[in-house]
Amino acid sequence: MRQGYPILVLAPVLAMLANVFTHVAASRLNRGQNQIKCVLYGFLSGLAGLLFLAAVVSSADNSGPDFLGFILTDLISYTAFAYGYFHFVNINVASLRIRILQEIIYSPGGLSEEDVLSRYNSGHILENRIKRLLASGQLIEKEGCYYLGENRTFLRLFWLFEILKHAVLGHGNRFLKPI
Amino acid sequence: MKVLIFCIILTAAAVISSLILWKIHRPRNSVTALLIIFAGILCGGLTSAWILNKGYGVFPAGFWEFLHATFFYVPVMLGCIITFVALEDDSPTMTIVRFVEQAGEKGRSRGQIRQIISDEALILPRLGAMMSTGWIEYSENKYHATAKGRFYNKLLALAPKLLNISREG
Repeated sequence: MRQGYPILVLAPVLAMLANVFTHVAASRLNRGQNQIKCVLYGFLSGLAGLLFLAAVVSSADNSGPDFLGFILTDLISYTAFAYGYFHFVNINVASLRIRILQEIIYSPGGLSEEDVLSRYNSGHILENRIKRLLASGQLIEKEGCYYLGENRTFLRLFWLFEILKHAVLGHGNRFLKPI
Repeated sequence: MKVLIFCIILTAAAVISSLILWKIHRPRNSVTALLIIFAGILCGGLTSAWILNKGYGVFPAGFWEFLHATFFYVPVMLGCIITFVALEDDSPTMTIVRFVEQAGEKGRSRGQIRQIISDEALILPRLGAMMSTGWIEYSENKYHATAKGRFYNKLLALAPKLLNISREG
């Protein structure tokens, strides 16, 4: 195993490079649309690269349980890299903090609280989010009312976050508290 | 397998330490606090492994095993920090979906959704959070971006340029 070990150590980093390269290429080919699919293509190409490197090392020098441990380490490492990268991309699309920060940066004299709210208030956020939820099938609209759609990804994420919020912060979602 | 077990123990120690700290006293700048805890445990763990490893083979040893442990720990650390920070803010998207689900067959109107997602609950806490991380400052009744805030904005702007996507918020 010693001969191929440096390749296994570097494999998650190389796989991540393949992930980023594929994601950028897919995104540019799609003109920035369908980001979820582009991210998925990137992740799968990196994973394929990781497994390919593991197969190459394994065929040359396989030493049983040690090799399994190295592969598990690499898989977790690569998944964590990909998770961080996904958030780095997503923060640009969906982060309110970044959007508000931009508004402040592009106002040379600074912005008062009223200025911030007039440029980017909860009404704008609501419009953007509902538009995206309708487009992705999470919500459907009938006669001016919104209902749950077939796609339940965000609902599942809501419950996952609720569990984590209670574990870490000791409380759940604060918007829904008054209801 | 020893590298994996060593890394899992280090990560678990860092997560448990962070949870204990959060229960005792929630830090003002959570990212810095998490970075200190996670980085401290990594340095402590690697130093202990280096000192204690006297040929027993229990701990990682040598440059490549230490690098392997670091390549595991650093992305997992960043993932944990991202998740911790994400928990601090309530996502309007997830809130809307749950709020609509609560109504069942009656559904929710735009006005009802607007009632729970107010400026006070959504914008003002984020302004406060950016003040505590030093991205913006408040002077003469106005918010101004700091050098740190401008730096992070430039850094994050690399992704939309590369990917040909727009920043919507």
